[in-house]
Amino acid sequence: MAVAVIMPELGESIVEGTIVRWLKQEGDSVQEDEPIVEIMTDKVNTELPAPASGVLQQILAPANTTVKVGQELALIATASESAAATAEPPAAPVSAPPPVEAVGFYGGADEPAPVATPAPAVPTRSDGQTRTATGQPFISPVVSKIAREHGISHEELLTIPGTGTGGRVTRKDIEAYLAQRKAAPAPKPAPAPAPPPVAAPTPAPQPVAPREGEEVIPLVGMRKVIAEHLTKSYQTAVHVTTVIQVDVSKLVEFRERNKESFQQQYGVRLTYTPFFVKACTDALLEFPMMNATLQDDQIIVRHYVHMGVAVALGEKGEEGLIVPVIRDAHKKSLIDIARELEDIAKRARNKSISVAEVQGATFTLTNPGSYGALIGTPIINHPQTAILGTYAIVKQPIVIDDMIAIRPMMNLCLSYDHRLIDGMYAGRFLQRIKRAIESFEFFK
Amino acid sequence: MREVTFLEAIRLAMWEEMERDPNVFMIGEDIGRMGGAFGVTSGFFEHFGEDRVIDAPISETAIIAVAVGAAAAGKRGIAEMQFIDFISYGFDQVVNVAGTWLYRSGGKTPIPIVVRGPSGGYVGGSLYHSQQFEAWFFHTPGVKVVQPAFPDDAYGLMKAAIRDNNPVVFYEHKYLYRRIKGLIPYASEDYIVRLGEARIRRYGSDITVVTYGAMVHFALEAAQRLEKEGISLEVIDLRTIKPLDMETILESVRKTSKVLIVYEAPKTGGVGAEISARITEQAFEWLDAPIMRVAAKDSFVPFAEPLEKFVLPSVDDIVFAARELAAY
Repeated sequence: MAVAVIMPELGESIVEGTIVRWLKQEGDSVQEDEPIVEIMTDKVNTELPAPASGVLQQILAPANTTVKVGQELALIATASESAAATAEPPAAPVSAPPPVEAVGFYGGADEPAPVATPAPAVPTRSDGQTRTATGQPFISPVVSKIAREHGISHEELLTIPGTGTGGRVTRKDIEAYLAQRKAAPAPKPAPAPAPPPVAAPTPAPQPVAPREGEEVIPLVGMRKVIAEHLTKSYQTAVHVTTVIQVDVSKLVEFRERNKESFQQQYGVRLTYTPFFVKACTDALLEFPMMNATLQDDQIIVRHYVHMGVAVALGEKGEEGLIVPVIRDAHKKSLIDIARELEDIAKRARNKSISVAEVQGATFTLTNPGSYGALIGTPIINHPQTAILGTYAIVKQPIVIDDMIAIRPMMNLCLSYDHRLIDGMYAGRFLQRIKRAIESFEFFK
Repeated sequence: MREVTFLEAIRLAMWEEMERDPNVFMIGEDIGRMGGAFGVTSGFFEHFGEDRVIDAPISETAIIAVAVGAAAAGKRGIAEMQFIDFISYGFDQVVNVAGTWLYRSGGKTPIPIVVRGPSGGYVGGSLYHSQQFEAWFFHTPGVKVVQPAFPDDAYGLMKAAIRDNNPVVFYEHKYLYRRIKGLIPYASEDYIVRLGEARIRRYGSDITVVTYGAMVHFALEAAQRLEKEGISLEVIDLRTIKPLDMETILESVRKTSKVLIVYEAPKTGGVGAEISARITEQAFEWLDAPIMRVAAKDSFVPFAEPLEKFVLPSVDDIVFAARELAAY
């Protein structure tokens, strides 16, 4: 008896992920709930537990392949049926996805009530089989026929992205693939139907041959997710950016004066970010549209704040970016926020953060100032409505009461979705943050 | 062209055929002086007289037997079942007598009869006035089975059925009688719809819907709804259930590769089962998904409206099944 390891739904908008690596190999014995595979989704790596104990019989999705939610990743051969029949009552069928709630993929009690949760992307037939008994993807008669007529090998067929149930290649998929292939013919068309490629199947659609001095990296994993995410955001939201200058004298002064005692007292390094999170959170409660999301002609306004904070990964930022979330930021004190930020940023860099911790943000804060950026136009973290960038603090001569003074100044750049937010609302929102920082009203 | 109801189209077809051919006659319960339970034969008795419009006692066996006997002697009989459900009383006459006669007579004696009557549900008709047992005769050699969905087809098919030399069981869906209106040609045009030819009532690209009778209208409504979701249905109205126009079906299957069969009768052993089997036999390599069926539950048609709705297929059922197929 084989139990399938199924790609679980790892969050409200997650439809696919990438296999990073298998922690167990074919033939290895596995225990139920033991991590067996590392999967990368929506900017996070997570380990998937085995749904049953047994032997990892077959890996259906090798490393670096992109898998859809509901897709079978591997088969685990469980203990023989005869053993089960003797003493113990028959175990409940274990075809369900792995016990994901244990790791909180669906969010805990703190998760807000779901608002108009989108339907699962892939409806499944209750009696439908999209895979054969051997675990091979189901090839329908017509797809098989078309493949044969066009000299597409089985291996090539498996590389075509499928939109059917369980990622099955549908007739439309293969026809689209053929049309695309025709539109962009291979440089050296083979005279006869090409023999099946000997190499192992890779999910890359059309391998590009690198020229000298070039290297080809497949767009997979986090990079792919970021690419898709940003494209979606840019194509959906009407982006506009407004900038305001903030005099951060009091903030800088407070930090300088307290950073050591703060570290001693609370065990946390005092940075500027918790102040920005706090100021921003307070402002969001007063300007809830900034904290809204647009869903099918409905504006969902949130009166709570889950603050996403962008964290760059890698020494040079070459390992991508992750946005951990401070949940219910509006209920937390500055110290709580500081503590949580440090922990979450550290774990994000260690890649030991769970999916739940990067999901559900209602607003995002990004800090290009950390690498000296003066001004910029951040892209909204879809499906949120706005993102605030905090830029480098630089001493500047400014005019106060008709006198020139030297003050540490910082730009706050707010990108927002102009479909929901008008200029004045954005301006007032920024003013609200500016006031909080300049008057330093944090410890009221 | 004239605009008429579905019922009027059938009435006019019979009227014109009786005018055209003096051998055509009709027999049934209350069809003469009363003009028929639904008024399909209203005015016939006065116009054609009691020799050609015969009021019969309540005996479906006798009604069909008279038509069969007269047909053997050279007449063309139209036997009305007040409700097609009661054809079961005349079952032997259709299956063992009419259906076999041409064969038994060595091809000498055709039995040109039409056994017609109102069928189907959705009108609160309860158990004995709501059935769709076309599968019985679909299974019977020597008998043709017809069920139109639109006035022009009802008109053209009724004329063809009367002129056909084989026994024809003609299902008239009572839900359509006065709900559906349409244009039909004038008598002078001598318009007929040949038996055994399906008609595509809506062209589409994603899913082939094979259906007939009232379900054609349901399927068209479903197609309209699904169009907004980007799912395109091709709706085939069989019109004649037997002989089955496999060519039209297969041509569409080769285009869409996905098939949904919709029929109002109980699902098990229905006409859709045979269509499904034939598609698998004849176009297996063209399929991209399992052939699916939407049909009535394997039950009686209850009187209570909510229960009737529960048992009989709905537009929603078609929409849901089509979505599932589209996503497969």
